[in-house]
Amino acid sequence: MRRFSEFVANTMRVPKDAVMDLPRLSVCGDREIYIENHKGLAEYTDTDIRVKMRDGIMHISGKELRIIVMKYGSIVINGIFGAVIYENNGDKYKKC
Amino acid sequence: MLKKIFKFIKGYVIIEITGNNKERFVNMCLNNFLNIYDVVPIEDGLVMKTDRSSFFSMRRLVKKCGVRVRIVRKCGAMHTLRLYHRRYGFFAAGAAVAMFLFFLPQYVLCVEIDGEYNADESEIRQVLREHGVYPGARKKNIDDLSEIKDAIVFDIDGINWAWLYDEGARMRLQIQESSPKPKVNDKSTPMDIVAAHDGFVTRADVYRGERHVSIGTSVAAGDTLVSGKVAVFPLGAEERYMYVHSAAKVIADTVRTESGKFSTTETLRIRTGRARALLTLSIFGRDIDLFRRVGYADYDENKIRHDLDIPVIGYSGLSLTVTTAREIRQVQRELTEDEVLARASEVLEERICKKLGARAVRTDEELAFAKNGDVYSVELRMHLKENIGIEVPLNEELSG
Repeated sequence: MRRFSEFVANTMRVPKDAVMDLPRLSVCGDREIYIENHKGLAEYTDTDIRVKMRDGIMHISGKELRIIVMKYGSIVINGIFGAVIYENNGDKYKKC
Repeated sequence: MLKKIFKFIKGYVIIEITGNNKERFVNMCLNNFLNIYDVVPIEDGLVMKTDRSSFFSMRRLVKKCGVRVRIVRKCGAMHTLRLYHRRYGFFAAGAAVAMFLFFLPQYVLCVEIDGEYNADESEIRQVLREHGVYPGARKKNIDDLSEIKDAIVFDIDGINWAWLYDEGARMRLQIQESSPKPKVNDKSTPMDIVAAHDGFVTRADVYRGERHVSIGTSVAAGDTLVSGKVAVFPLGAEERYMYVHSAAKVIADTVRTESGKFSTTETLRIRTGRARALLTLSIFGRDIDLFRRVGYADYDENKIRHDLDIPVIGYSGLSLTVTTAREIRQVQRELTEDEVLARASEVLEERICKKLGARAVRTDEELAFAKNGDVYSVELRMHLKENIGIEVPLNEELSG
């Protein structure tokens, strides 16, 4: 199913976050992150925030992290970020 | 800001969530569209804000997640109202203050007169009272301000401008007195010119009138220098005179002397560094001292007045005057001879200069002194070149 939706997105030039239900991230320097299409919180502390996504967990680490807006489909995180890591089912790490 | 105000009006609750499933609780709140915001992690949980309606809907989720919820604080207007709804005295006092603030601007509680004036203050206040301006009067009954201004200007001598300012509970009358006009002699009036001071005449320019003074002569104070009675007849003919307003410039060398006694000691006022703030409360023009005594034998004081002005209403009738009293210690200091003479010279010069006319030029000065115990007797002789002629009404006998 996922491969099919990816195929549709690629061939029809439709945004993947809309078709494949992938999270969309907007990062403003190392101070603010806006996440859409999240599936909820997994961990929330001053230094680490884990946000559930469709295929795994997004791990944001840093200092003085605060969730300033939290809605059903979106979340805005403020603070000084050290790393944003995708933890896909625990077998693969992608760092951006 | 507007959002914050609405939140405050609606009321909100600050809660603390502890337990293992706190993140799950947050997720469930979001999934159930419960309004939570300002989520902050603490040591073993989360602190968040939620509105009243969302808070009551959380019970079901709390049981499901197995977290513990503790109310940290209830905030907002609704909560405050609920808290104080049985305090009738509080509401009565609030209503009384509101009524007071409503009625306050409708009455004059104090009348102040501002400006430099020599006129009798009671007379001014009487005029104001006649027009309805007095402490306790209703503003509705006050006459038109232009009428009051006219009454003050026309009824009280010397005042040439006045205006009444409405400053809440205070009416402030700003007045200004006219300065007297300099006395100018009419040019058609016959006048003599006489010597104002003893002197030796060095120059005499007569523009109008009959010359009685010549260059190189000494004159005494009061001597007629130029007469306004001018003879206009040839020798042997009938005597005829023309009366004129004399005009002349008579420059003479004069000597002015001033003397005085000066002590060799001076008193210095030194601040000790100790100071006290003394408060005086002014309620509708009546001063109430909020202190018993200053406590210093000698002190300087500096007053600063703070009026309580309420926006829109203006002056509330309450003022607080802060008087700063700084303690002073008097110390006697011995002056040297040079210091005494310098000060004496300064004082005496000032005295002489106050008596001089315009454009007098100092040519020389001598300072003589004699010491008698702790006192110096000092005499200053100042040599000047000045115009000694002054106009006086024509004297027929002297002029003749």
